Amino acid sequence: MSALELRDVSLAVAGRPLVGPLSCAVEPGTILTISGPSGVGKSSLLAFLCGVLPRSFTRQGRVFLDGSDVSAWTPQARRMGILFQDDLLFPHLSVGGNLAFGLRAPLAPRRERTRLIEEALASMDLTGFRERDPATLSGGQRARVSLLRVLLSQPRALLLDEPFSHLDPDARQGAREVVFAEVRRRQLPAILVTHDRADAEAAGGPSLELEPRE
Amino acid sequence: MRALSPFLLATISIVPLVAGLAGAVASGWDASAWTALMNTPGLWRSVALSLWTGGAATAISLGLAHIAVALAGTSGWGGRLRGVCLPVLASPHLALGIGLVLLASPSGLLMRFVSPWATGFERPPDWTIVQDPHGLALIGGLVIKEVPFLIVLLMGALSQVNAGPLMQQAQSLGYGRLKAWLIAVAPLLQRQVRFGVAAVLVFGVTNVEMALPLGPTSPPPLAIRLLEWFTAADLAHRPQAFAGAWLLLTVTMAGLGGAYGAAYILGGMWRRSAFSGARWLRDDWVSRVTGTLILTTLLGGLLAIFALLLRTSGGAWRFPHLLPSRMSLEAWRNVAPDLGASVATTLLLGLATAGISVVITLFAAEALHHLKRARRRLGALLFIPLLLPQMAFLFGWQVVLVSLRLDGTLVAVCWSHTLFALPYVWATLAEQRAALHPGYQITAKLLGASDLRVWWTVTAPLLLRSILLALALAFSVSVAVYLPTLFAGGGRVATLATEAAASMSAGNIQSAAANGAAQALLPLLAFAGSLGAAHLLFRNRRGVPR
Repeated sequence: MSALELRDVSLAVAGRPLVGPLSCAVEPGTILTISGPSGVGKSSLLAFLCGVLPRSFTRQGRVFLDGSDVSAWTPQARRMGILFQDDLLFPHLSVGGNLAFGLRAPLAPRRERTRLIEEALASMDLTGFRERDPATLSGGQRARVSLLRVLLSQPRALLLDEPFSHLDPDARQGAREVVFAEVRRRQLPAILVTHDRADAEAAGGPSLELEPRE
Repeated sequence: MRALSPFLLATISIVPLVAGLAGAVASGWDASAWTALMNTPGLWRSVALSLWTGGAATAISLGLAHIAVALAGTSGWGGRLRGVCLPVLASPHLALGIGLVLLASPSGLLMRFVSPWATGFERPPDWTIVQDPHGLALIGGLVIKEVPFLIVLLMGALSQVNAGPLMQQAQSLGYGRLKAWLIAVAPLLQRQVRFGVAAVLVFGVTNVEMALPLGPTSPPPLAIRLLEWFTAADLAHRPQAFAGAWLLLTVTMAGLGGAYGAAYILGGMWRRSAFSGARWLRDDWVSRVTGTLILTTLLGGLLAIFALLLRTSGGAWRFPHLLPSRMSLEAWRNVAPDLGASVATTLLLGLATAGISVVITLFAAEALHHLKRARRRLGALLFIPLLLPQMAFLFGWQVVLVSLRLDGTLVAVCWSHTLFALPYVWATLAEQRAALHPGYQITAKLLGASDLRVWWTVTAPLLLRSILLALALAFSVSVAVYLPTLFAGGGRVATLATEAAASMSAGNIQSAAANGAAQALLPLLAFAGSLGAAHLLFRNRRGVPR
């Protein structure tokens, strides 16, 4: 049984078929790369997987996570972490506040939560950033905070929606390595949607090309 | 609640309109009422005065506001311009009108500035400055009040039309500043603010708040006449008042039609000018003249508020002394003994109106944040009360309230206030909510937060500045509105607005000033509090939307 499995998934919008039917499985610690031209439904597929696809779409098929059918679960219950093109750090919270929002350790006392956050920041060379305004960070730093936030929420799978495309080439290389290393270290099944061939090569997993539908 | 809230908003807004118009039909459809109305001496002069003062004030205000934003909007002065506009914007029409009387009348602050050293006057001259028969003082008052409103409206639209680069482009093609504005930016802005301008015109033609202190008296504009008939102890005037309300509605629609026609003609002239290629490089003198006019207008408003606050000392203030002889609040007790009670009622209504309208609007904004067309329709619906003469439906609404035994209750008054607060609250919150990046909510949800927690920890903080502004706006509208209070309150709910207007009608300028000053102060405090809090909140978070 694979960690993340899609069975006969197809999506349509306004009666127009968009994706699928599609079946695939992603093993723990591997990254499935999905590519294809704009508008082919890559982002919609990810939205479907994590349960936030708008109601205007019709959908079929099932999604299994660690053997359970999560197709009818709420987004909160599925616990699929996602990283978008925009890092979407909450602008009204500090870096530490953003991480605390993600951190899943509800019974831990305040001091323990702070320690976990400090530790997480240190693991990505961000020591001393806890009180910082996210708006003052560089693109690469924001990408790492965003990754930390999702990892602290203990996701059961990771979805990556072109998360590196807004970064400049140096930062992109660094962010890619960090994200992929974490996926392997934590043995998460991951799906990467990208336009960038270098992303796909670095991911080193199976790949899938979505074709436009007429 | 969330799914129902848009309908609740629509109901709050539509029920008084429909019931009010129906009530007016039932009471005004009577031939003898129309005969009585048409036999009123000077009726057509009143109609002409309404159209003239409202039309002229709107045209002048719009022209000045456009030039002000053209000169300052895309430069670093934009923020400061908005700051100067705020006190006048926050002041109710009625309070500002009373302040202008204290400023510009023969015994007013301006005359004291120059007397006796320049004029030789030891006693106020016997001139007619305010309440002149041609309505010039009324036009001036309306311009002073509406220019800041239109400036803020245009500045708000400025960010949506990418004005800075357009201006640069036109100027780099060799056009002078004003022509560049006129051709490249003004039409885009005008499209965005056309309903706001229509509301200014309708208010100008139909208002009593400015016409009471500043307008002509024999005969007065149509709206003042209707008010006199409706509030007369003699109920015999009622039918002709209802017929008059229909006449006012017709006159207003004619005014809007005229504005549409004027816009059409101006559009033709604009196309010729845009095609001509004339650069209008020597526009310095126009900028200087209109700039001076705009500054005078803004300064006039600020001075009127100052005069109002000065007068509240309530003590003796002999001409030509610049300041009252004794500055104390003691005299208030003699001048306006019931001020405390009126302040309390006004505060209660203001807070209730602000709370109710903002909470329901937040629910509705949440429900419609991904439905653009529904949002636009609801916004248009909520705006209708600002495009109709208040008289046309408030009288009928009162008749309905009486039959429901709700007239004179705070609930009825609060409902009527909410009706006029909602268009502003909706405009402040709905698009801001829709403009939030949906990824924030999705991210929060996927990090495991419940829907309620997503709203409370992510959506609400990101909207907090707009929420504070919307609260201050709704509060200010509630403090300002006079006719809705008078009619839904059945004359029994005494707020600062009704007391100030009653004092003004009775010719008691001291009491009018005391009530007017308090009426101007409450919104000022609300805005100061709201902007101060918005400034302090998230001071170290640059990414939070402003």
